[in-house]
Amino acid sequence: MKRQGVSRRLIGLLIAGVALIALYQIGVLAPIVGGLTYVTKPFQGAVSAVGGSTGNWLGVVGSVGQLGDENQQLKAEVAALRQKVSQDTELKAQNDELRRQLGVGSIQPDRLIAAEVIGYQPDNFRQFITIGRGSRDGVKPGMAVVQQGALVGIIQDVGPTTSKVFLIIDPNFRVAALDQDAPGRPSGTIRGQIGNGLILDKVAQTDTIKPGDTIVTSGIGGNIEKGLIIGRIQTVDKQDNGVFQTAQVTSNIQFGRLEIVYVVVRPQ
Amino acid sequence: MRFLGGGAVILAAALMQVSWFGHVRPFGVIPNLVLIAVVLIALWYSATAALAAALGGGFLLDTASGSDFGLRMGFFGVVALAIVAGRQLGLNAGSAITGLVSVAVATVLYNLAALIVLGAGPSLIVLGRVGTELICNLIITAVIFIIRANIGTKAHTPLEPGGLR
Repeated sequence: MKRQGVSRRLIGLLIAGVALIALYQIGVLAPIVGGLTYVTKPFQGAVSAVGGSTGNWLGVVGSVGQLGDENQQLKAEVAALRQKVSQDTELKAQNDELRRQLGVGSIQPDRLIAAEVIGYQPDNFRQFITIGRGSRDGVKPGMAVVQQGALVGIIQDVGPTTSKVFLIIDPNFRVAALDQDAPGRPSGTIRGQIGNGLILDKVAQTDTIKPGDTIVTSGIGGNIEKGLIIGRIQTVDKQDNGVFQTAQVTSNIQFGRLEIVYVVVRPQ
Repeated sequence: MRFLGGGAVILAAALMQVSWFGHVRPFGVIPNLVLIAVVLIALWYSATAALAAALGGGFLLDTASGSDFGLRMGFFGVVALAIVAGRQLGLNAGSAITGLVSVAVATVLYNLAALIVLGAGPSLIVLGRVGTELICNLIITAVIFIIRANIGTKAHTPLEPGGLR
C-alpha cells in the first residue's frame, strides 16, 4: 500500500517534470521563470560579486610573476592608443565638417548600458552569461554587448530585470566580420569553438590576411553594428586545395572573468 | 522539514555553481555542484526526495542556462532513478567509494549528453575539460564525505531490496 503511494508520487513528479519542459517550450512558463530570476537576482548578484573578487584575487596571485612585462606592454599600448585617439579626433572633425557641407545629419554616438554579470552558464561547453539588466532598462534581443570596446556577445533572452547573453566564444555563435587592416578589407565569418578561441572562416583564398590584423564586425546580416572589435589574428591557415582560408583569432577579453559589461543601444 | 533542507541545499548548490564558480573556475572549469547534490541525495535519502531534488535542481540550472532547456532536468531525473534502482538491488549507498564512483559516472555521462546535444565531437580540449571537471567533482564529493563522517551524521536510510520510500 505504502509502495503504491510512493510510486504514485514518483510518477506525479515525472509528469510534473515533463509538463514543465513542455510549458517552457511553448512559452507559458516565461512569467514564472521571470519571477524566479527576479527573486534570485539579488542573491545571484551578491554571490557573483564575492566570486568576482575571489577570482580576481586568485588571478593576481597566479600572474604576479608576469606583472612587470604586462605593465610595460600596457604602457606601450596606451602610448599607441593616445596617438590613434589624436588622429581619430582630427578625422572626426573633418568628417563632421564634410557631413555639414553635404547636408547630412551628424552621427549620434551609441548609448551604453552598464550591466553586472550575475551568472554564468552552468556547464563547460556552452557559453552564456546572465546580466542584471532587462527589458525595464531598455535591453532588447539582438543588441550587442561589449567590454573594453570589444564584442562580448549578443542579447538572446530578455526578462524584466535580467537578460541572457550569447557569448562569441560559444561553439554555435556566428557573426559576419571583416579584416580592418588587410587590403580590400576581406570579410568572413567568426565562429566560436570549445576552448575559448575564435575562428575566422569563409575568407576567400585570394584575400591577404596576416597575423596581427584587427578583426571587427562587418554589420552584415544581423543587428550587430559595424566596427565592433572582435580580436586579432593569431595564425592563418591557408591550404592550396581549399576553397577558403581560416584564421585563429584571439580576443583580449577574459571571458571567465567578466564582471561588468555594456549593452550597446543604437540611437533611433 | 527535511524536504525544506534538501531544497535549500539544491538552491545553494545552483547559486554557487552559476554565480561563484562561474567566476572562480578552479583549473578553468565549473564543477557541477547540483549533479553532486542530486547523486548524494539519491544515495542517502528516499526515492521521492531524490527525484524531487533532481527535477528541482535541473529546473534551476535549466532556467539559469541559455540553451538546451530540459537537458539537466531530464538527465538528473534519470540519474536519481538509476541510483534508486541500484539501491533497491542492494547497492551499498553509505560507502564513500559508491558515492565517488556514482559522481564520476554521472559527470562523464552528463558531459557526453551535453556534447551530443551540442553536436560536438571529441577533441583533446574536450577530454581535458571533462577530465578536469571530473577531478573537481570528485574532490568536492570526497570533502563532503569527510565532513559527513566527522560530524557524525547518521548513516543513509537503507532501502529494502525491491522497496521504495
